[in-house]
Amino acid sequence: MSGAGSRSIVQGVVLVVAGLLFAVPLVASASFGFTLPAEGFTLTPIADAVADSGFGPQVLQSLALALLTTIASFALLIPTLVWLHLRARRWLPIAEALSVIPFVVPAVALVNGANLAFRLTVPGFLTSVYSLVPFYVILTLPLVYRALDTGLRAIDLNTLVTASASLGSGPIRTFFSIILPNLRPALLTAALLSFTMVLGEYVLATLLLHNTFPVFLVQIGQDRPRAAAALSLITIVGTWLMLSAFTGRGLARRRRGPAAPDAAVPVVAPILNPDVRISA
Amino acid sequence: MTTTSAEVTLRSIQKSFGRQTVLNDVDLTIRGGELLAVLGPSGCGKTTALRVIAGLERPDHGTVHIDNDDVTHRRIDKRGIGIVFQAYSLFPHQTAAENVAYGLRVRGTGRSSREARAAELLAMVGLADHGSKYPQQLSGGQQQRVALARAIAIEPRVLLLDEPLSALDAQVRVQLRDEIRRIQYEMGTTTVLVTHDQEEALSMADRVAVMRAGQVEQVGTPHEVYRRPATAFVSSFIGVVNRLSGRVVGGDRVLVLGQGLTLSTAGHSVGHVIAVLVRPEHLAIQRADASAADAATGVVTALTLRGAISSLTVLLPELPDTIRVDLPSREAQDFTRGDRVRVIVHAEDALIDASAVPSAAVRAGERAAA
Repeated sequence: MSGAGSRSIVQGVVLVVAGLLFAVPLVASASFGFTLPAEGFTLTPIADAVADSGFGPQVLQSLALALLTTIASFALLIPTLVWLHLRARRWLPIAEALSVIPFVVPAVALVNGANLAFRLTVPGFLTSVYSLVPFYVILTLPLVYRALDTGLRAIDLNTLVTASASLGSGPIRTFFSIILPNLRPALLTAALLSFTMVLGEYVLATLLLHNTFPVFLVQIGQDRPRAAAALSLITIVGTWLMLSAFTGRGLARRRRGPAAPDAAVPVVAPILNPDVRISA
Repeated sequence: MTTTSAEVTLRSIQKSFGRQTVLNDVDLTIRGGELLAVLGPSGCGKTTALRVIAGLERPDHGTVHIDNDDVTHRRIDKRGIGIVFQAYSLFPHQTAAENVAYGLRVRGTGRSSREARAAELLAMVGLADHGSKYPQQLSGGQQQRVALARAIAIEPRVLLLDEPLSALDAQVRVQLRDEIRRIQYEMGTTTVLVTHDQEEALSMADRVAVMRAGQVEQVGTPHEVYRRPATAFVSSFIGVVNRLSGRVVGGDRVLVLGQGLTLSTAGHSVGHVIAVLVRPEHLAIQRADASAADAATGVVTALTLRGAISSLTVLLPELPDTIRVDLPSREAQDFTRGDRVRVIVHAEDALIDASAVPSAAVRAGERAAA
């Protein structure tokens, strides 16, 4: 058999195995969540879950947390990264190294440290569900940083800013009229990453005794496992739809030809991991 | 269309980056309405000079005036300048028309006025039908035309061109430099062109400032810097020059290739050996006898047709390398490789370089690039 033939067989096998690994849990989850032994296909488990008094408030709570986390991350990182790229490029490697620290600090360690620190200094702080926002900003930092950094590297920031200034535009106008529109794909990527991570975050919320959507999923899973499976599946499908919509936009812009969106797209890949982990 | 012709004056400008002095006491005046090309090899400080005028670099010492307005410490967006960059600098998220209109929008010009102005300027740069295209849909040359239209849309007091053609291929470059010159002439905007391409500088500029090592060596019309270079560097940087060996034989008399020439010897004593710089077109040749054996008689080693003129490469006995002689092609066709010829120097076009070691024909651009 020729080398090319062997290669295509290996590729086919890898594709099938990967597809099975990916699809079997989803199919099993769908089968379990949307069927009852006596009835076959049914929406009863999901209807029960949605009817639960905790569902609405906890979903809204998680959405609000995701929104606030994204806004806080952008407010912190966009000006910082723009400044680093324009004025202090030599510090970029250090900033990048700092941005991955959350990956090496386990969430449990973060919670314990936060518990100790805030109980001693501001005891009331952790009682509000929105006290999770700064911790979520830290958790999402590595991914959001990379998405924005990739977007900034994909445009000739210095030249664009100088060109804008030479046309009479001040720094603030340049930021909003030139920099942000050209970062749009990176902003979308970063927002999507931030949203999906927060919507799937369980450890911090449960250890700090806050009721969020992932906590609701776990709680309901103890009494009604079929409802938890169905809701998890719907969450994954929702994420997929968001991802597809974004990727479609990215491809459409790429067809028009801009350089900026292209580089930002691959960063989306890790987005699937948090949801898959939580719903499993 | 409004004509702006502000005069720009740099006085005693100094600029260092760390220990490296990039601009060393630069004095330069760009007259109202002229196109001044700042020409020099890489690292000579020409781009830094442009950035100082733009307000992108603050000088360590000295002042920048636009007319009588001291703008030394003024931000770039407050100077009233337009810039066309070497890199493609159009805003990717805006169409060509939106790019051109951006500066007017910043100034609060009404929508209909700025759209009309953008259309007018796009027509001026030959892109009337491309207003709705995004930068990615335009070629490099078209992008630079839009960038030019965008820069002049705001009717700047000074237009700065930072090697705007260097990223383009040769054919587009030649076409676009003629267009830039035409538009600049029509607008009458004071313009500074930074370039390392001598052909570009000589063909576009009203005056050329030649820079070396952070200093201005000469400012003059293209004709002046080519025909009457103020220094040996200028003569060797612009065009092609032959370096011949000469010996001072008294007063302003120098013996070059066995021929006594009247040259300013700049205080050299009798007996000193000096370098004499002569352009290829300022040398002539005549056929020599096979038996002739003096310093001016050599052998043609190559003949290159360059259109209206031809270049003959001649090897002389007392020079280590060949020299180049340019002749009208009609005269050059009488010679062929291996011919013995006598080289004649026209004294009125020769220049002395006391610091140089005599050598062969040197193409300055090639040397600078190396």
